[in-house]
Amino acid sequence: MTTVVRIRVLSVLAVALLWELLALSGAGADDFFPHLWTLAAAFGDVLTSDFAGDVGVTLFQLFWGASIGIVVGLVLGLLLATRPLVREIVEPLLVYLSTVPKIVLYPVFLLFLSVGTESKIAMAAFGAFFPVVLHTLGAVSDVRPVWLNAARLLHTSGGQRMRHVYIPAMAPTMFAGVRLGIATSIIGTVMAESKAADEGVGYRVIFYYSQYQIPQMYVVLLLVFVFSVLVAVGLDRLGRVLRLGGGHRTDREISL
Amino acid sequence: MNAPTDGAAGTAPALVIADVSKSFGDQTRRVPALGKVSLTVARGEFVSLIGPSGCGKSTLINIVAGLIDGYEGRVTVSGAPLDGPHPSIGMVFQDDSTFPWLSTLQNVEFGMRMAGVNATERRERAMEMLDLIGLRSFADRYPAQLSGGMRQRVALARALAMRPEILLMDEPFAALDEQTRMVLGEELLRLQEELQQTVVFVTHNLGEAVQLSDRVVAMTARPASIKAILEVDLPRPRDSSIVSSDRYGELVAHLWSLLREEAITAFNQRDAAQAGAVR
Ligand SMILES: Nc1ncnc2c1ncn2[C@@H]1O[C@H](COP(=O)(O)OP(=O)(O)OP(=O)(O)O)[C@@H](O)[C@H]1O
Ligand SMILES: [Mg+2]
Repeated sequence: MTTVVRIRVLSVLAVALLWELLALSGAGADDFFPHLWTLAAAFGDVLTSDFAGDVGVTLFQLFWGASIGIVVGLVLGLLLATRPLVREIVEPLLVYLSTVPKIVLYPVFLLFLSVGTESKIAMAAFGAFFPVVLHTLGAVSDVRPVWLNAARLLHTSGGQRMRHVYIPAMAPTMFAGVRLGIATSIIGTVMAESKAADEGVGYRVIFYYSQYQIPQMYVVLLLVFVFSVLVAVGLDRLGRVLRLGGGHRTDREISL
Repeated sequence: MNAPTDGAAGTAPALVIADVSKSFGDQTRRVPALGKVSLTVARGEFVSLIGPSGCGKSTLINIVAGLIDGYEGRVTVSGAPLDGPHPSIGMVFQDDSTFPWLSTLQNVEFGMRMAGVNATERRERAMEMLDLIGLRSFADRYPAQLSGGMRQRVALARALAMRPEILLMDEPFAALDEQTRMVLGEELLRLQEELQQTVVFVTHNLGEAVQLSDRVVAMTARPASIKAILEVDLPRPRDSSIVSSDRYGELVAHLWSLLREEAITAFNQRDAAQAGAVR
């Protein structure tokens, strides 16, 4: 445990050191690799600007987008899961659609929704939806027939079997889908903000870039990265608390 | 004429299987799995089904469980015709059927919880069952932390907690190693002396069948029908020392003489099927 933590700390330090070496070597043009102290100063800049407002906007879009995508994905997945005929028609469609980069849909969202919040929520929702629905469908094979027979011989109704056998049996794989879905919706939201927006963290990255404030840009990117890692770690913890560690279904293609 | 009265329901046999047969597949390729089988099981009786591999034992027991329909013939439970899983029938399966997301205690409580038994009574009955199978100290463990034999005991406790009138067991020890299965066999024998449960028990093991049963039903190769029924006249209460008695040895030998021919037939059936598959 402590060894793992030590390795992690050391690897962070190693990356920082490598970065500083690159900065000192003068690789790239002027500001490609700002010194660590320049970054630290830029960190102050970013925090004293209205960065908090951008974070709020992004979190809002992410929260609603991911929630919608996850709920729709879980419900649709469970509905299809127990209807083999419909499933056989719909599942291939979902698989093919999931491989289409979501970013090509973005202009359509802009057209039908707005340049503002709605189009970002749609991107986040689509990002979360596909991994969740596909994992949920795949999770049906986790339900061993003998569990269903045992439940029938314990005199359960169909609804009880859904709630007390199907769902708990499928939960680890569904949870893996949710984790992946949240990750892809973070990417989706930030990416959408960087394409067409006037607020949000993704917009902020592009703004600094266009102003040639490269250290500030790096700081925002770093914060996005740290946020993603924290979310992933948090979900890991949650999974362990809920005893959902078993799902390691990563055989499904995802793309943005 | 035969309107069920309390008295009549009380005296009806636990289970009547009348001319039951079953084929799988459609008109073009019908696989007869079960010939005409008729069998009556009395209350409190322990009946074993034994027969060659693939002869149709599971098919028969699953029909009684209400898990298979589309069969010919009639099955009645305490005088009432069968329609789906009967409330007074419980079952233990060959494969591990414990729910891995529930603790031992929660597994045993599962059926009662679904039936709406209140928490206090549920807990009490479940603990009683855990005492019965000797797993009280494992109440909070999850199946992944238990051995295969322990999990089968949990599955047994979970079924018994529903107080079934009839308990069906389809090779409950088949997936276990020899020593574990001997221990569990002894345990089941002890339980049976204590509970006088009506049991239909499928097994491949001649000794197990003789040791546990009041009657052993020897079945033919597929499609299974009843070849002979062996009355086990060993005195009760029995314990595991029964296996060293002369009578036990005679009964096992007699049972084998009944089954030997069927086992060979089944073996040849399988050979023929394999040859067919190769061609
Ligand atoms: N759902 C099914 N569809 C088609 N054939 C089946 C089905 N279930 C069983 N069978 C066939 O019916 C026959 C009897 O099967 P069954 O499982 O009842 O045998 P068994 O006596 O329990 O065998 P074992 O001792 O190996 O458990 C076998 O030939 C099997 O292949
Ligand atoms: Mg079988």
